[in-house]
Amino acid sequence: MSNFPFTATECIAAFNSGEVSASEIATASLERIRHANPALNAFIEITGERTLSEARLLDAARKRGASMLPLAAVPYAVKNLFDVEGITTLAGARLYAHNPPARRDGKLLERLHGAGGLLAGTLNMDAYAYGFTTENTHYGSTHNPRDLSRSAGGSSGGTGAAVAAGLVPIGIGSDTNGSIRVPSSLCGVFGLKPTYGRLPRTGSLPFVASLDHLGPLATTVADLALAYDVMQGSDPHDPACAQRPVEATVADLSRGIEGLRIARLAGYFDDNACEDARWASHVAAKVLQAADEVEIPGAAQARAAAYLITASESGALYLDALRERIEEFEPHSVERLIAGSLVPAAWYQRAQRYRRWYLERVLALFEDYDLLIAPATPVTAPLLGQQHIRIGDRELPTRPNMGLLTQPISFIGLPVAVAPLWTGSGLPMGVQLIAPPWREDICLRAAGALEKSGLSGSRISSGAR
Amino acid sequence: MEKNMTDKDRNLEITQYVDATLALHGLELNEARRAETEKQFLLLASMSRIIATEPIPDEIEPAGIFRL
Repeated sequence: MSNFPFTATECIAAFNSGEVSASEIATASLERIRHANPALNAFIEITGERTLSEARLLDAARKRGASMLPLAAVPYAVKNLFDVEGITTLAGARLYAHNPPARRDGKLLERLHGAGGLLAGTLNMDAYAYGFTTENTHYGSTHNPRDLSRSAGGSSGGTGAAVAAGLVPIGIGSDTNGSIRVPSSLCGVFGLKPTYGRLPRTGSLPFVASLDHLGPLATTVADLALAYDVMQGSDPHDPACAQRPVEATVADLSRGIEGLRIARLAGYFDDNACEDARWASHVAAKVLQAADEVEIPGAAQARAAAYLITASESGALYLDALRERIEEFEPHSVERLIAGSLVPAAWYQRAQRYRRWYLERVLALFEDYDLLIAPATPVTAPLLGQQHIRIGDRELPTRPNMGLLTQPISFIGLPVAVAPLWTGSGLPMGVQLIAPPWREDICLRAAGALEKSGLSGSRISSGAR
Repeated sequence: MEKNMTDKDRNLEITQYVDATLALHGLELNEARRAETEKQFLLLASMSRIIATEPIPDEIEPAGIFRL
């Protein structure tokens, strides 16, 4: 198994050339998952029968001479807030454990299946997607493959861990305040949070409707772009999904940073970053030839407004269940949900108005720059159970503060790629590569340039290959 | 809440607000859970104060569904 194709690009090439069958790739991936998952707790459900069934269909199609699919024979897995036909959608919550199984796949799974992907299973997360550490009382904590004593980040922690451990080359997560970018940073993989409204959320459990995004995590930038491209397209069933055409990114990756005007974000994004995070931001800026340092005006206020909107919308969403079944809630977040349900409408409205105003001011920055660089997390992966993180001389509670640097960006829906760099401690630290709305291509080109320079990479251990 | 109120006054008002709104919602909490809820609400109140003084122009509308 050591020389078996591992990245999505390698799987597609090996399958298309006839070197290996989809069934062989599926079997290898399932073996890796079954071997590694007991220590990681990344997968909540392994859909082995479906993986092999999808693989056999691909093998039969190839025998018939059917045309090749863009994601043919690529194993992938999804955060367990996505509907998977025949499986109960949990969103990490015991509250949903007795719900009937989903009757059909969510929209993004339909697209991944149609592109030839092989679903390997569903992945652990913070309950309701409310958290940044994937410490789940009812389904267990997910362990970081880089150091099993540490958090994989959250809320898409199972997704980050599954990709970082080499169990699947592509995982699909969600990001409301940083839930793709935090696990990408802490686990050392690439991630993409597309523009708000780009990918349809149909067939996924909502958390904060006005901030929820879906997107991929992957081993390489090419794999990330492949997954993103096949998931694009409008969907009338998601009222926030924009009616935009597919704007494919893979072909443009080789352009790198050609013609891009790049700046590094200072101010708030340095003040809330530890030394490793500032180092990552500076070194990425140097490699990407960032000409300037700039500040986003009002980033601290944006984070506060995102915090309020998140609390208020999620509290309102769960209010009926809080009345009726409070003992089934995740202890780590139940009081935050209750408190959120009490937020006065005037506070919520002001936060939403601030959002509009802040967006207009940030868009003005993009008149001078095409790409902004910032660290993805304030610190590298904390220990599981660690209650506080240290930033300079400040000690802050871990759970609400791992999103300090991601919240001011997703608050206004900007597209962001995360590229992992490696600190002297051996732990990864991601950098956010932030572009104007609908320019995911720029985020991915910059991530590709960092990867090509050798500075960034997901360092999947050879033992997993 | 008045601008010149002390932290003690504000916390008292928040305690009363939390109790009244919990009752309005029909949420009956044990004392430990009620105390933690109030702590979380105080944090939200502090977040609210961070944006309360921002001079947002009147014509700025809320970003409800947010198509960029």
